[in-house]
Amino acid sequence: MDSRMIIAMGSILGVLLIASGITRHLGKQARQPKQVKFVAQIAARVRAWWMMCVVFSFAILLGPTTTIVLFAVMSLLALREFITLLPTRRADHRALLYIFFLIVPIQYLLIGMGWYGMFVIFIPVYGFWIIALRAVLSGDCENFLHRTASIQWALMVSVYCISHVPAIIKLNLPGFDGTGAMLLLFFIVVTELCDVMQFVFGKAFGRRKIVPTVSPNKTVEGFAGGVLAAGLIGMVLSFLTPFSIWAAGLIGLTIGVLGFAGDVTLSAVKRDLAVKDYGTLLPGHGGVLDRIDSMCIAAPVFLHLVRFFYTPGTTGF
Amino acid sequence: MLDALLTELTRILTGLSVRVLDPAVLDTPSVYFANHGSHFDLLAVRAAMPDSLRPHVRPVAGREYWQAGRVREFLSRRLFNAILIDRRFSRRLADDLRQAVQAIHDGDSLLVFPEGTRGRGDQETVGRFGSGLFRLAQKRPDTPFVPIYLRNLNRLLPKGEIIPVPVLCTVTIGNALRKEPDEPRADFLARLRDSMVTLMKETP
Repeated sequence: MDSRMIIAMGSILGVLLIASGITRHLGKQARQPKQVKFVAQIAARVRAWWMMCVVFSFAILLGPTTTIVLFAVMSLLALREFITLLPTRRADHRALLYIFFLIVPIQYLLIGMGWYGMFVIFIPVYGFWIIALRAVLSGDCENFLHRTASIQWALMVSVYCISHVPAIIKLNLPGFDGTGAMLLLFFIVVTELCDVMQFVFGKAFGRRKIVPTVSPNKTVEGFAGGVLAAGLIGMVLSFLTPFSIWAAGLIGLTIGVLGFAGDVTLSAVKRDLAVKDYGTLLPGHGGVLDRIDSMCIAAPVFLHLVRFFYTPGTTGF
Repeated sequence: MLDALLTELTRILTGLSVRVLDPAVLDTPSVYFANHGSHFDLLAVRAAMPDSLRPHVRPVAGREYWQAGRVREFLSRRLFNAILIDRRFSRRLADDLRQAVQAIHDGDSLLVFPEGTRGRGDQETVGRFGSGLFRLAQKRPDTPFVPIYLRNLNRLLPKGEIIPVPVLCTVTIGNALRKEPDEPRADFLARLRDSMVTLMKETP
């Protein structure tokens, strides 16, 4: 395994251990209920990262196929959470079956096959029409537009966007052993750290609310802190990538901003549907979708940027 | 072992979320009554029960359905420990009632779906209750009746479908009710039905 990978994973392990240690220390010191609640929230997040770290590390180490399968499973979980909240009717049952048992496997198979062209259009074009037509065949026009459109949203967010994350591993970067595993690690670490830093900066320095009608907890200070942190972490981890330090910093900033965008967009959806979390899979955290919402816009843009600038002339991934 | 497997598969498929308003209701043999909308209802309620209680919650089911074929017969008798009643002939009513009362006497709990045939609609409503629960309450007046509300199971596997669509499902187990002395049938059933509607409205 590449030495850069070992260094990166070792560092992440170190950071997690420090985070756990700090959390435990804070837990002992907390007295007021507000402090205790804050520590509990941090502890829940640290636990979730440990879990994510272990899972992702295994997948990345075991190779592209495992990683692709892992994200396929995550797509299915996210999809289930999203669909649960939608006003689907009996008539949508078969269309939904097509999504879970046909479209998801095909989309991830396309990654495995390296068929980039079909990967980018399968869901927006074919998936879109297959779903709509199957619902038409069921003959139920009540709320048809609302049902079909919201199902397409679920498909785009949970499957199409998320599938761009494991797709990173298929990027054929010159000088990188042909594999994007380290780049995937870079992306995930930057995204997650930005998320954390937004939360921490928000709690520490948060004053002006940024989108109060959508997400009452997000502040300008939190947003700025998170994005800057993402830029910095991008620079620190640039050794994992073909980017120069400055390019890596810029890409980190971009991921930070897009991560925020994905997060608030899915928060707006939750607001509309009057729910607090998408699911209850991760205790204290919500569902899978609550955890990966920041990757939804960031992953496709990241994939396109890297592919456009760093893999010249490719027709595949 | 098959039981454990089915329970686990049900939990995984439905991402089952269980809410018990009063954990003490599970300690007493009770008559659980739940809304009915899917073939999966029985599996979901069983999966929601603690392991120790599960074999002692006996579903009351229609004999003409569950004895039609070897697989169903095996499932109802060996796996679900069901009490089979005859819904077609009212002459058998006394026998059926006796079976049910005997089970409670023996310390088991019952699981009943008082709405009868599963509803077809897309709306979320609670149908009219059959009178079986009232007759049970008459025979054993101090039996606790516990409402269970099942959400989204009818979306998981609607009537007429074979393959389930993964959807997050919730089981909410409510507070126990008992029949008042001299309470008329209509009032008792209405009270039971209201408790289930309340659960439905409270389930997030």
